[in-house]
Amino acid sequence: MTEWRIINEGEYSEAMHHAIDEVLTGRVNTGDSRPALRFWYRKNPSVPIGRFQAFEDEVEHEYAEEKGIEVVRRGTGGGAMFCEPGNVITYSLYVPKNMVAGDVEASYRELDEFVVEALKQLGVKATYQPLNDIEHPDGKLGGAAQLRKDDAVLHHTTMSYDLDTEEMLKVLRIGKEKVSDKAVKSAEQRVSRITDHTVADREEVIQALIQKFVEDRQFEYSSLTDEEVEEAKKLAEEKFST
Amino acid sequence: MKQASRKVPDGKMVELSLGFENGNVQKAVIRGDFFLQPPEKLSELERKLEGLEREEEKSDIIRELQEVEAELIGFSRQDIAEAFKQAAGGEK
Repeated sequence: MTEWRIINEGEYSEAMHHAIDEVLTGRVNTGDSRPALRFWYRKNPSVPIGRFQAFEDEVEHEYAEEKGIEVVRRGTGGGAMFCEPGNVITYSLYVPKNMVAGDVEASYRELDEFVVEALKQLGVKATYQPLNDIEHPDGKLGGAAQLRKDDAVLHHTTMSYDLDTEEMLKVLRIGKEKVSDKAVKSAEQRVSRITDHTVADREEVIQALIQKFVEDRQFEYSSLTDEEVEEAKKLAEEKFST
Repeated sequence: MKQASRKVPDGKMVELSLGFENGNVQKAVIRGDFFLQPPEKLSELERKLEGLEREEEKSDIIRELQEVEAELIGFSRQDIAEAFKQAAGGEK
C-alpha cells in the first residue's frame, strides 16, 4: 500500500507555495517523492490568478500594491482568488497519474471527496459541484485546479474559511464593467465561508480533513527536505515572483 | 483589438481579442478562467486563429482549431469560434 506524506507545516510567500507545488509534482512525476498531501500556511495576503487570465482584468493592481498584496500567476488554470493568512484553507495533492481517474470531472470529484466528507462531519453541508467547485447551499466554499504532468497530477484547492468578502471585492475585479450595488451584492452572495457553518476553528478543520484523508490510507507526517526547499526557492525567484 | 467575452453555459469564461489587418487576423489572444491540457498549447490555438479572415465561417474556425491536439476543459473549440464571430462583428 502506498505510504503518503502528510506535510502540515511551512509558512511561505504565495510565490514560494506555487514553486513548492511545481517541485513536488515534478518529484512525484519522476518517482523521487512519495505521493503527498500538503497544507499551506501563508505569510501575507495574496491573489493567485489563473494561468490563462489577464492580470489587468482580474486585479485592482493599484489597490493590491498599496496593500502589499502579492499577485502570482499560477501554473494551473481557473480563476483569481483573494487569500489572507488564516482566512482560507489551501491544500495540494501530488498524486501518481495511475492513482487518479483519467476522466477530468471524475478526478476532481475523487480528489475533493475527502474534503466534502470531512466538512459534512463538521456539520457543513458541502457538495462537489462540477467541474471544480465545493459548494454549500448558500454559495461557493472553494475551488480546485489541476495540472497533469506525464505521470503525476497536481490538484490544489482553496476554500474560504473566514474570507473578508468586502475586501475581496476591492482587490478583485469582479464584473467591474457593471459595478452596480446589485452586481457587487451577487458576487458577495456567491461566496460561502466554512466559519458561517461550523464552530470548529481553522486548525480543527485542517485536522478533520487530515483524519478523513488517512482513514483508508497509509501515511506519515513529513517535512519538505532541504533539497526540495532549495529547488523551490530558485523556482519561486525565477518563475513565480512578480 | 476587437474583443469578445463568452461565458460558457455551465462552464468557464473565454475572452478573445483579435487584431485585424486588411480583413485578416494578425494577432489573437485567448484568456479566461478555463483549463487546458497541456497548458502550453494555448499559443498554438492562438496561432491557428491568425491569418483567418474576418468573415471566416464558424465551421472553418473549428476545423483550424482541431489541428491542435489539446484537451479544452470548461470550454470548447466551438466557444472560441463563437467568440471569434462576436469579436469580428456579428453572426454570419
